[in-house]
Amino acid sequence: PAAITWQKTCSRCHTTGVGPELRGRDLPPDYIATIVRSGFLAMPAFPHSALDDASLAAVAKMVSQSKAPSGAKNP
Amino acid sequence: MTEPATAQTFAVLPEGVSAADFAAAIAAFRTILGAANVLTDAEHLAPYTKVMVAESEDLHRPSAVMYATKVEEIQAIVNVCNDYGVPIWTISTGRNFGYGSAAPQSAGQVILDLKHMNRILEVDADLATCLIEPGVTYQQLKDYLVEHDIPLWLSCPAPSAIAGPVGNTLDRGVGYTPYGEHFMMQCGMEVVLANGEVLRTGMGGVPNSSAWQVFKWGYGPYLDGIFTQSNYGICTKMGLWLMPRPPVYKPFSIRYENDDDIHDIIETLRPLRIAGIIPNAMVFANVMWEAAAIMPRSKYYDGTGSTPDSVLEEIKAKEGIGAWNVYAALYGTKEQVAVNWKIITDAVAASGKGRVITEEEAGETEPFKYRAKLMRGEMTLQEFGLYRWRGGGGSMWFAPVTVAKGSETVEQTRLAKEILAEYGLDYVAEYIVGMRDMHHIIDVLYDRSDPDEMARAHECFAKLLTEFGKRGYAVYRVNTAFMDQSADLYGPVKRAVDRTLKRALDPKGILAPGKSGIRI
Repeated sequence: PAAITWQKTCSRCHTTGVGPELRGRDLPPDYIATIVRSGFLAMPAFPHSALDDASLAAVAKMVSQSKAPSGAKNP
Repeated sequence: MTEPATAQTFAVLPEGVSAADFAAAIAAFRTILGAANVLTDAEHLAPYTKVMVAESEDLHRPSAVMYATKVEEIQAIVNVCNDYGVPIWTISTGRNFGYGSAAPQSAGQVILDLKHMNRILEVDADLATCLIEPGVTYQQLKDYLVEHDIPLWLSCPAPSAIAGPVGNTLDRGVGYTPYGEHFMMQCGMEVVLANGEVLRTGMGGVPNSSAWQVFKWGYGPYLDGIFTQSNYGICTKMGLWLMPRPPVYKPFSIRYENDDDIHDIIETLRPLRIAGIIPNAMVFANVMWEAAAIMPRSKYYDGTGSTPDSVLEEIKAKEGIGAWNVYAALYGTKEQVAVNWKIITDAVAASGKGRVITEEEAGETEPFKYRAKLMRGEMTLQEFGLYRWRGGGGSMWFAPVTVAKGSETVEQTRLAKEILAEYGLDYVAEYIVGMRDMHHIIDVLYDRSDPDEMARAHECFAKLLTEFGKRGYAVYRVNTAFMDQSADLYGPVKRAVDRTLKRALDPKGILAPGKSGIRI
């Protein structure tokens, strides 16, 4: 499920250069969750109705533990 | 357990509602929906206060949010709203970026979030129709069609994956396929009225009718339109027509070198659009819109103020972007596509301007690739690159209606660019081409984290409305900060009729007061 959330929502901006690369940066899951709930500058906020707490926690953990994709530029 | 609602727990109250009455209303909402579905805490409200409009989010801060999934629940909710005078702002998927996002028009309204009301009730593969609930996203509907191997295509706006057909159509949004005029392709609606009654439009009121999603008008006054861009009811179901997947799909681009070419682009392509040779809602994107899809402005310019023309020339030369970039597509059998392709390329050649670029030439490059996806209703968020052009989270759509005549586009383009430049902002624009009209979509982008720039953007937007209005031009849709000014452009009689309908259908004014400038 976390992989699907990533693939169908987050990755559409965060692997295409619209938003910054997130993988391989050891971003704390709590930080990710806060940004998702509040939005940040150009990034929209995602309410609980669009992404529940459990799904958010799962995708945040997945992103936090992910490795940098091969060929990606350093953030 | 959720804490009992007391006066102290509310950061904001609806206008004219006492803390005690609001607490009683919240308690009643909780009885209907359960405590977990009626929330007033900061954590749950934060996502709904994220706006891109050029004024304080405090002006659009909701007092509570509630999640409903059933028509009966919504009927019960409006009864409570009437009892206590509590206004509600309904959202479907709430992705109205640049038009107010998910936040209410005025502070203190309770958000009725229908995202969880997300059943795909029917897809009829033979008639090419569907019936869906408000929370259904384009992604969800696309997945359903793929999973069931139904050969129908969607038409979606650029926020595709995360947005949905009901909310988009209710604000009369557009897409890029031959079904791009979404309200035109909508058929049948179910609406909860402010008095709690449930209205089905068109054929929907006829018991056991099988024609709700195929014949739009029904009998007597045709009502669907009064529930779009309005606050006369809460839409709980909507029917749509879907496009059959064609055997051949051929997206293409035409690149034009000069700003003034916009005149000849229209004159060359309008006859082809009206005749249906080019069947889709094609777009003419200017250099900065095109560039924003692939890079931030800072790659070429890190000054403040408008991007200088010399920088734009550099971007055009180095990135291979035209002053204007046409994206259109052909659909049909191989033979149909071949015949129309010849007509189009002959017309472009005869005009003496424009370089045609095929999908084979473009390959996997952006922005061609995302345009090709949008013109067949596929999910991509690539165009959110617009928000990275200047960054800072400020964006408002200024979208005047234009007639498809070169002379008018030249005037609108010049006027918009001049006013934006006066405030140090950029003309980032595209024309989305209907049959005879065009939506002239201008993204008023600014750095919302800079209070001075935000103030300038607000002033700029007001001036755009005023100056365009003086010349007989008005927007087709607008953000929550400018709904009254935009309503004024359409004249006092229109506003009075809107208000008469409002008073008749919603005498307590509980449904989304301020939407399109309409209040009791």
